[in-house]
This record gives sequence, C-alpha cells and structure tokens, in this order.
Amino acid sequence: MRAIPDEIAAAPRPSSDGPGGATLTRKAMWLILAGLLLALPFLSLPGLYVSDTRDALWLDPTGYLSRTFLLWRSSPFLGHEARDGLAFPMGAAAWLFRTAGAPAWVAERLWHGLLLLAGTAGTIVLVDELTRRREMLAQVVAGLAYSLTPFTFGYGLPTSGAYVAYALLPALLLVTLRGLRRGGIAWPALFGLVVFSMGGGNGAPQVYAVSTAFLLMAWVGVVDRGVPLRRVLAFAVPALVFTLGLNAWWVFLLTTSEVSNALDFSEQPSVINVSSSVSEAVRGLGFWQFYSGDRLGAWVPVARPYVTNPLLIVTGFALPTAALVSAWLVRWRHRLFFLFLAILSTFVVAGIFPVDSPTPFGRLLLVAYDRVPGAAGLRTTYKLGAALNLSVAVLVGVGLAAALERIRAASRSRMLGLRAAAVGGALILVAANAHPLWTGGMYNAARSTEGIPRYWDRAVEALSERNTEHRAYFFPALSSAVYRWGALKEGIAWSSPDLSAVQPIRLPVGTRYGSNLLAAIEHGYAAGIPQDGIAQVFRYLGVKDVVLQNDIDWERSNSARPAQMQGLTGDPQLRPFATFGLPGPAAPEEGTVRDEATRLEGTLSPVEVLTVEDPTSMIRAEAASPVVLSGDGFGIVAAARRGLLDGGPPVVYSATLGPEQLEWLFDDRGASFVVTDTNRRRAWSFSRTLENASYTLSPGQTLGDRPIGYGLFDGREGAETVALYPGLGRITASGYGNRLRDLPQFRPANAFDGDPDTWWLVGALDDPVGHWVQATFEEPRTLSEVAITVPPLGFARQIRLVRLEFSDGTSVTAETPKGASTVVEFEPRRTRFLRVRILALEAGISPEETAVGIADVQIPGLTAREVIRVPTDLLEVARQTEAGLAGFRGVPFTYLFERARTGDPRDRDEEVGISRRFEVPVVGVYELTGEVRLDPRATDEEIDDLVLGPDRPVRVTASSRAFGIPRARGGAAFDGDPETGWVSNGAVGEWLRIEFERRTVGGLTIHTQLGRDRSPIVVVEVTFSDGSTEVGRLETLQDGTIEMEFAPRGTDEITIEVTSVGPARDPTPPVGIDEVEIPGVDPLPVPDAAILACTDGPGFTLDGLAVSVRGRGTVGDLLDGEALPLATCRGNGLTLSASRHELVSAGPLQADAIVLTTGPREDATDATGRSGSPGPPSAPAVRWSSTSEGGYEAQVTGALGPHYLVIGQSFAPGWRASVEGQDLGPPVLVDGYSAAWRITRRGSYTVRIAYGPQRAYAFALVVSGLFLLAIFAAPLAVWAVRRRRR
Amino acid sequence: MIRRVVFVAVHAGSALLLGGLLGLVGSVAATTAWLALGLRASVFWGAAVALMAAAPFATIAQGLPSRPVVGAMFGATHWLAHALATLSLVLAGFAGGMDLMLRAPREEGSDGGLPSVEALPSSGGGSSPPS
Repeated sequence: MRAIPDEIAAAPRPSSDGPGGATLTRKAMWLILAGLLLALPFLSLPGLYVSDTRDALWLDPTGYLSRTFLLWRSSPFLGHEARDGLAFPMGAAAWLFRTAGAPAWVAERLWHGLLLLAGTAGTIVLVDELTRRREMLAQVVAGLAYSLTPFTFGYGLPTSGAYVAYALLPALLLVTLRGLRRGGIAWPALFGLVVFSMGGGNGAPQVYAVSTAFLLMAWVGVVDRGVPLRRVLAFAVPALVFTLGLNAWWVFLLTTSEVSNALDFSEQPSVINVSSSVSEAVRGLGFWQFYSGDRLGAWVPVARPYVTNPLLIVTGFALPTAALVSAWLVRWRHRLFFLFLAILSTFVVAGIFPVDSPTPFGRLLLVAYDRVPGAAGLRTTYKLGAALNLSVAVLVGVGLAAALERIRAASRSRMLGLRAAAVGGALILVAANAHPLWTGGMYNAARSTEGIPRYWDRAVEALSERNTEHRAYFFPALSSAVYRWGALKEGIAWSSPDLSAVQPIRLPVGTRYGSNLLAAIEHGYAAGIPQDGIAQVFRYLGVKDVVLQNDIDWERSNSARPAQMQGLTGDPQLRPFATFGLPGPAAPEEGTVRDEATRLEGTLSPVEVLTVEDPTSMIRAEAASPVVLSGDGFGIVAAARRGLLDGGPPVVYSATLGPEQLEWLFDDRGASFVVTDTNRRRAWSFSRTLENASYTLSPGQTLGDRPIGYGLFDGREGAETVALYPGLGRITASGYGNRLRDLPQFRPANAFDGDPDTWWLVGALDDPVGHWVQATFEEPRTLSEVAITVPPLGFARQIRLVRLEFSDGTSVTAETPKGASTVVEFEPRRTRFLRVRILALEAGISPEETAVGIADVQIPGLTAREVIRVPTDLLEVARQTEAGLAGFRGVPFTYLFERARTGDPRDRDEEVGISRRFEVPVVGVYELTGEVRLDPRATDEEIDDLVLGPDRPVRVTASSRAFGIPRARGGAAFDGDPETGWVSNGAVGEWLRIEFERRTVGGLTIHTQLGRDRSPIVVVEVTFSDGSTEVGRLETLQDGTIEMEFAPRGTDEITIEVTSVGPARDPTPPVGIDEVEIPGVDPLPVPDAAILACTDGPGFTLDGLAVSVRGRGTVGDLLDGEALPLATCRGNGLTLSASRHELVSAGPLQADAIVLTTGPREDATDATGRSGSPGPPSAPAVRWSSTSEGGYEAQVTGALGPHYLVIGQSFAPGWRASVEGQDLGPPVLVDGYSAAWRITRRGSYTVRIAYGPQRAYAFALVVSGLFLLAIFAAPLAVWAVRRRRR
Repeated sequence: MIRRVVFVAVHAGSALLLGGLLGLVGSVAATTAWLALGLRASVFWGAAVALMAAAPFATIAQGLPSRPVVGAMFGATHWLAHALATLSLVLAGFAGGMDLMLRAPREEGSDGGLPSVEALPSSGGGSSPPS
C-alpha cells in the first residue's frame, strides 16, 4: 500500500480551497448547508408534532419555563423534585420560536435543523483547525458524516434535550485546541460557555463530552507534548472551574431524588448493552431500543433499515473502514488521538456486551456502577457515540482532504474524474447514512400528532379552574402516551404545566411512597377489583376530579383500557361531573376483536370527568387519631375498600414508627391498628404499568438484577410480606411466565404445591430448553422417586424430556408423556435439592412460541404449601416499648388479607386461595368478615355440595364446564329447568354422568342444545353401571331431542358420552344438554332463592382446624359469581391466642378478602364515628396559599388539640415547617405519601412550609448567573479600562 | 527495548481489558507476527482495514431479520461481525501504537500540518522488529 505523498504537509498555515472566489464559495457553502439542514427536517411528517423530549416545553413553553427556578414540582405527580436542565438552550429556543408565532411542529423542526447545523458546522471548523486548511468538500463530508447518523435520527432528535451535547462536541474540541494553542482566560471561559450551551438534559452526554475534551488536553500535553504541560493545566483548570460554575444550576439537579430514581428503576446495563456489540457500536448503532419493539412493531422504526438493508449495512461499515484507511495512510498531528478515541469509545459504547459474559472492562463497569457514586449515571454508554462518530468523521474528513490533495497532482482530465469519484463516493456514504433525512422518514409517525383535540383544551381549562386547591387525577397510568388522535411524549397532564394534576407513570417518583400508592390504585381497577372506598383514597391525595382518558390508545400505551377504567364509577362517592368530546374514539381500530369491552368503549366520551364527593384540600389538618397500618399503599387501598378508613383518619405506616412513637400512640388512645398482607416482596419491572410485579418472594430472595419493590422503609425485612414454604427452604427457577410481562400465576412454587391445576410455565417467546425449577430442602432428603405431571396445553408445544438434578452432582433423565403423570424411579440418593431441567420439547401444532411447564412434581412425603407471612414490623417495634405487646390490649386491631389477583381479570389469579401466617399480640375475640365467591375452578360436585348440600339423592358430574361457569355445570342438565343446561368445553368425547339410587331404566330423553355457538350432538353413547351401552341418535337438526328406548336394565348410573357432532366448524363450538329425563328419577331443582348454608371442612381452617363459614347470600347469587359477605356460623367470632396463627381458605368458597377485627372500642366514639376513647378532638380548619419559593403558608384556625398538618406533597426529608419562627422538626409520612407534622398547638396560627433544598438550588442558580455575568461583563470592563487609558 | 516491552504489555493489557479473550488473542497474534516475522505496521493497518471491511458481509451472512422487530439478540447472534470488528480495532490499535512508539516527539509535522508518512523515520510507517 502506498502512502499519500507529502504535498499537503507543506501547508502550515490555514489556506483556502484554491484561488479565485474561494471565500465566496465558502460563504455559499455555509448558506447552502444552513438552508438544507434547516429545511430538510420539514420534509419529515410536515404538520405533525413529534413529541421531542418534553411536551410542555413545546406546547406551553412559558408555563414550562416559569418553573425553572423551582426545585419542587407539585404536578403532575404527588410532588417531586425537578430534574430537567432543559431551560437553556432548548427551552429558550422553544419559547422564542413559539413566541414568534411558530406552531409546535415548526418550532421543533427549526430546533432540529439548528442542532444538525451546529453539529455539521462545528465539525467543519474543527477539521479546518486540524488540517489548518479551509477546504470545503472534505470538511462538508466530515460534518455531514458526523451529524447525519442513525444515532441522530433514532435517538438524538426524538430526545434532543440529551442531544445538544452531541451537536456541540465538535465546538468544544475546537475551543480546546485553540485554547491550548493561544492561552489566556477567554478560551477556558468559552469552554465553559460551550458546555453551558449543551444544557442539562440528562447529564451523561455532557459528562462524556467534557471527558472527551479533557482526553484531548491530556493527549496534547502528555503524549503529543505539542503544548507544555503547564500550559495545558493553565487551560484545563480554569476550564473546569468555568464549566462547574456555569453549569452549577443543572449539575445540582443531578443530586435530586428523580435522578437516583431514574438510575435505580430505568433501563439497567444488561438491557442497555444487550445489542451493543462492537460491530454495531462502531457503525453508530448498538442503542438497545433500535432493536426492540412489541407486538405493534419496532420502537424506533427509523433505525430498522440500518440493520435489515444489506446496502445500508455495507455503507454503515464503510465509514469506520474509511476512517481506518485514513488513520493508516494520512499523517497529521492528532491522527492517533482520534484513532485511539474511536477505538476507546467503541468499546465504551459496547459497555458490558456480551451481557452474559462481559469483557474485563465490562465487569469493571459493573463494579463501578455498583460501588462508585455517580458512575451508574454513565451506564448509558451509547451516549459516548458522539466521541466515536466525531472521531470517525474527522478521520474520514482528513483522509478525504489528503486524497483530494493527491488527486490535485494528477493530470487535469484524470484529476476531475478522480475528484468526482472520491467526493461522490464519500457523499454517497453520507447520503446513505442520512437516508431518513432526505426520504422524509426522519420521525416515527406512531409518535406524532397533528395537535391536541379541542375537547381536551376545554377539559383542561375546566379542570384548571376547578382544581386550585385540589388535584385532577388522570387515568390510566401511562407507559407511553398514545391517544386515538396521536401521540404525546408524556400525556395531557404533563403537557399542561399550569394544571394541578396527578398522572401516574411507570417509574417510581420522589421518595417512592406516592408512586407505590398510585400503583395500588392502578392495580385495583385494572384487576377488576370492586372500587368501593376509592373516593376516600382520592381525598387523601387532595383529588377533586377524576379524569378518565377514554381516548387513550391503550394497546399502544400499554395501559389499562377504558372499559377497565369504568370500574372506578363503581364507588357511589365518585359522581359523574362532565364529559368532553363525542362518544366513539375509545373503540379500537378496525380489525380488532369486538368484544363486550370494545362495544362499551364505543359508547364512551373521549374524556369523562368524575368528581369526588366532599373532597379534601391538598393542604389540610387531620385529627391525631391515626390508623397505624402495617403494609404499603396496596394496604391503604385495601383498607379503604373495606371501609376501615371511612371518615378520613390519618394513616401512618407502622414501619415508620419507632418505639417512642408507638408508645405515644398507645398513650394517645385514639389509634387503631391494621395489619395487611401488603408490601409484598416482589421484583418489579418499571418498564410498564401493568403486569409488572413478580410473584411474592421468600425473605431475602431476588430475581436477577430487578429492583425489589419500591424500596420502601429502607427494605426492612420485617416490613415485608413474604412467601414461606414450610418443609422446604426455597423454590427457585431460571425464569417463569414470559419475558414481556410478569405472570405470577405461573410461579415456580406451583410445580411443587401438589395441585395439578396450578402450573409453573416458562419460555414463552423464547426457547424453554435449559430452563429449570428447583426445590431446595431445609434438610437433606433421601429420594428414590418423584412423579412429574405436565399441564394439558392443548395443541401447543410441551415438555418431552427432563433431567432431574441432585446436589450430589448426579442426574436422571426422564420422559414426560403428554397429559400424563410420570413416576420416575431411581437409585436412592441423598440430596439438598431437586432441580428439574427441561431437556427437549415436543413440537405443537401451533407455530407460536408458547410457554411450557410443569403442573406438579410430587416428592414423596413433601408438599410445598405456600404460606404468605404478613409484616412483623409492628409487633417487633411494640416489643421494644415499655408496655410490650400488652400495649395493644383494648386497642382496635384488624387483620386484613386479600387474595392476590392478576392485572388481567380474564386470566388466572395469582392466588387461588388465601393462606396467611400472622401473629396476634394479645388474646382476643376477633370478628371474621370478608368476601367470598364461588371458585370458578370448583368441580361440579363441590358446587352441588354448596348449593344442594352433601346429602342429595342424585349426583351429576361432567367431563368439563364451559369457561368454568357454575351455571353451565353438569347438574344444570338435571334440574328440571329446560332454560338451564350443561355446556362443555369441547365436543366429541365430552360426557355427562348422572348417579342415582338403583332402579330399572328402559328409556331416556336427552334435550340437546342447538344454535350458532353450539356443536349439535348427533350421536351419543350411553353407558350403564353394568357396563352395557346403548347408542342414541338425533333424528333431525330442527329438534335437538334424542329419544332412546332400550331393553330395561337395573342401573345406578348413566353416562352420556358425545360420540359425534354435526357439521365440522373451526374452531369447534362446545356441546350442550338442556335437560336429561330419566323415567322414575326426579330431577334436582336448584333453589336459587334459598339462603346459602354453612360449610364445614378443610376449605377454611385456622391453625389446621376447620372453621364453619358461609357466604351471606342466596344460592342464585353464588351461582351468578357474585361476591358475598363472609360470616362465621358459630358464635360471635374467633378467639385468637397471643401467638402465631395460620389461616387458610382454599375451598370452592373462594375468599377474596378476610378481615379479622377486634371491632370498635365500646366505651366511646370520636367525632367521625370511629372508635377511640376518648380520642383527640376533630381537626381544625386550614386555609393556605403558595409562596414564590415553592413553599406554602397555611393559616390554621380552631385547633382544639393535637392534630396532623398534612401538606399533600410527597414525603421528603427536605420539607420544613415553622410556626412563628419555631421549627416543627422533620416531617413525618402520613396518608401513604404526604409530608406532615404532628402539631399540639391550640387556637389559630400560621405555618410557613418550605422545601429546604430549594435554597441550595437557588444558590446553584446564582452561581451560574454570576459566572455568566462575569464572562460577559469582564470583556466589557477590560474594554472600558483600555478605552479610559487611551 | 524498554519501549517495545512497555508497548507490547500495554497493548496486550488493553486488548484483554477491552476486547476480552478475543482481544488478547488478537494482541498476542499481532505481537508474535511482529516479533517473529518482522511485519511492518502497514501490514497490521491493512489487516485492520480488511477485517473491518469484512464485518458488513459477516453481518449479512449471519442473516438479516425480516420481522418488524429486529430483536434484542441481534448483536449476540451476529458474533462473527462482532469478532471481526473487535480484531480490527485491536490490530488498528496495535498499528497505531507502533506508530506512536516509534515516533519522536513532534515528528508528525509542525503544529497542525498534515505531514505524510514519508516524514516518519521509517518509510511506510512501519518498523522492523528488534534484531
């Protein structure tokens, strides 16, 4: 390979691109570039706003900027610290464009054009500086190669707040080079200004940019030694000072709780670097979202062609290849710096790839993220793509410049051809990389909108007027804000900064207590749980209006759907207030399934507003007789649902109490205590709002690197509800459910629970081979056989081969026949665990990658019963008080247990029963109440036992029951009512069996069901108890009656099996029989109106002893699936000793909730009618106003004694309150989320409330302001002094 | 001699750190080739360019997705391109390191100029192995 000759070396000074009009050409270049780069973004989705970074910034920039100087934001959550450093330059630019009259989409395009121009222009001038030549073509190619990349289109412009640093990196390096060469204080100041101009969006890109500049300084001073080290330091130190000073305003924001939440709960390194191989990183890809998507398509469609189009793959690699060629052949001063920068930044962008076995550097990164403060903020390594792309662009640009110089030496005719080829080739590469820009495909159409509909403008206006002292709560919680009319970044509530609102999102916010409470609200209605009492929760939140966003595109937003939101209307204390827009847009697009929910949604107005009856203000006083609740926000919602919070008592989490506070509450004689089965130890996925929590984990258990819970109460184990497996140490698995959503109903414990109806499933959308489930024993056991049952998964793939692995290192391989239980026998061996690993599958007919699993693994002498242990923190703290557990004597005490249900009401529930372990502090009589319903999984026999009693003359069973519907059970075909009937799940092979007292039968009449949704029964085979059979045939499809006459015979059982059905249909509808008539055998009518009888048995036990219970309702209510109040049958309650207890409800009478309560104190009630003797007085009145510093001033009148002042803002240690200058001390956490103070002062007084860290933020703002002032004032001062001297 | 030892050690360490075992293999191979065969830097430059140029074809050869969603495992499944790009950068680093090691201070031209390879002490940008 020959090298580029030396001609260009003899050009030490900047020179132009040849004689004659070069300056003019250069000017023309700038004009053309500016015109093109500013105009080209307008080609993509003209007229559509594309939701760049923050909606409010574009839609209401004045409102957005007006909050720049406030650290605390009351909306759109329950109060949180700001983290946006977008006010400058992005916010300022948006404000300027919008103020000048530009629509939001035009302002966005102008801003994007400016960013492209800044990146391109900066690179051009940087290459000028590096080559000391003012070439044109090479510089333009370098500039465009840097600006027009997949990174720009796929990540940069859609989130341009974090992209400004990218656009200004070339300028920063330019300033660095010039500053090092020329010296003086102006250049370091300019360095700081450039960083200041990068804004504070995100933080990591700025840190990476500054680090790159400092690497350049180190190179120049230490390796290149082109500038004395002293001079380098003379530049670097003041540059750092200016950088920190000027950017103090947003650097401070990096310390806020929002940033730490984002680090804890947003994408983790294993996700960030899942696709960032070196080959993807080096061509500007590797950002994980480029490769990801969901059932609705790719998340970043603009990036897809770079990975799927062979031509673009070749051109994508051509740039780094050309950069290497340039680094090889062209010698210039900083060549090796840019080469090494490109290499280093490629590997940094790759990060911990491959995530399963990272390189030593990847492992170092993981350690650093974990242990070095702030390092986790740099885990989004793709943001160093700026340094990589700039290195490549500079090397390509310099290489092209050298090539053009060489070509210039050739003969004129050859020169023109070569020049055209070189420039043309380079431009083709750049153009290929930039194809979204000139093809108009720069933006994601699915993330855009023409604008917010007028009906929303009217709704927001009305809500703003009504909610000055309250909040408007927006449903549903959003993962992304896609509406039927288009997409926003964050949703309506975010885009209206002046509106006092709550808009739950997927990520925890603030100190996370509020987010946990909002998640509980969201989970409740989405799971179809009745919403009684939810209005009380809204009162705690200071909510006046509840906004149902029925025009949400719930499929794309990954949110609850409007039909589910209608569950909120179930609370009579939420009254309809107004609707906005015309009904209709809630229905999904054409082609989707039009089920009942869809039909309902078609009748809903796009915006529906409910109003809370008697709302409470955000800032208020509450009587000092709290409900002390053991649990979390899910417990508050459950307690409200059960009426335990009626009257609005303050709620205090027991886990926030120390012994002193508890003693104080004992003494206060107004507190009541509620222990719930909430604050479950779960691994969460904060990438979605539903189906985002794992099953309940064992103490200390984790699931990979997923965050455990909301991190409440510092993760104290005693405050958690955990799963225990008596007799077993732990049950673990390599995975469960599928990788897109949590399915706790298919948790590993199901494989060992002795119930073949509950399954461990794994490997959906994946390859299940290699996955395993493991039971670890408390003590080593000797095993010689196990029985394995695989679930009946229909036509889907199933497990065919498994390997049993033991702790002694041995293993046994076994086949698992479809739908059968396999007993695997082997040589006895002693083992600490049994692991069942999937080795091979049997392919199903369905091509889908469905989950496979195990229904049950029976280990002789062992059943892994799952028991949920409720929090123990309250009793632990009570033991530390002077009174000990006796302090609870005479105090209202309640245990509240609810069955865990899944987010999808059509799916299996997480728990099929309630099994709880709890401790009672003092002996007492507890009233048992709650809610039960008929378990859809109950057998026909179990249902008839409940509704007809166990001693009945006829027993009817069937092979299956359609969808588990009780009214479709076998008994419905022998109840004497032709209007009711048995409906199966399948068709041929289904059977119905009737057992009765032995008698002679010589005929039979079967009334089968006909209709569109039934397979007509054509032939049946009837089997008698003596084994004889008869065949019956349907005469005509007009009449479904099958009449059979046969030789009389004695029998006590008739089994009717369907052997043939009418014309085949796909899918085959079920069969049904309305009635069977057996001469001489009386049918068993179901007494619909009869009161349900008591039931005794193993289905409901306390400490292993059966408890007689009943549902308070009729047989008809039960069969209709209604929830019925639970009651005991004997005595007034259950006497519980002061010890540990275990309550189990696992029968066909399925408990949704169980409440054990000592009942109200008998000697007195307080003003709200709640128990409490004598109890503190009612709460005083409060009037309040906001202060300019983001705090509040509250005037309290009529205080008669101790009370809580609740500010309705998320609890944060920084909140401070004072009365007449006297500090009230640190706040306490009340009502599940809010900061509050317990105040004993009487009469009237004024409280000043401020958010403490606001002062530090204000100081940081002042520092930035002073630096800015100094930088601009200093030159003026110098100029003035010089002028005076003259 | 010390410079060469330092260079080899630094490169091997960096290659192992950043590129893992593959990086180390590349580094050892390059060092061996340099010391045993006396290859010049230009050979390593050429190899680095060739490997990078081959990476797109390896990507294509290992299959391009046709589904709407590419899939998060794209990087992992296209291991050959990853390996080629890694080796390319390791060799480019080696070649660049040779250039750096053998370069006297400020030999690459005056401040900001664009000197050619002829300005270097050894024509072609390479160097001979220690004899």
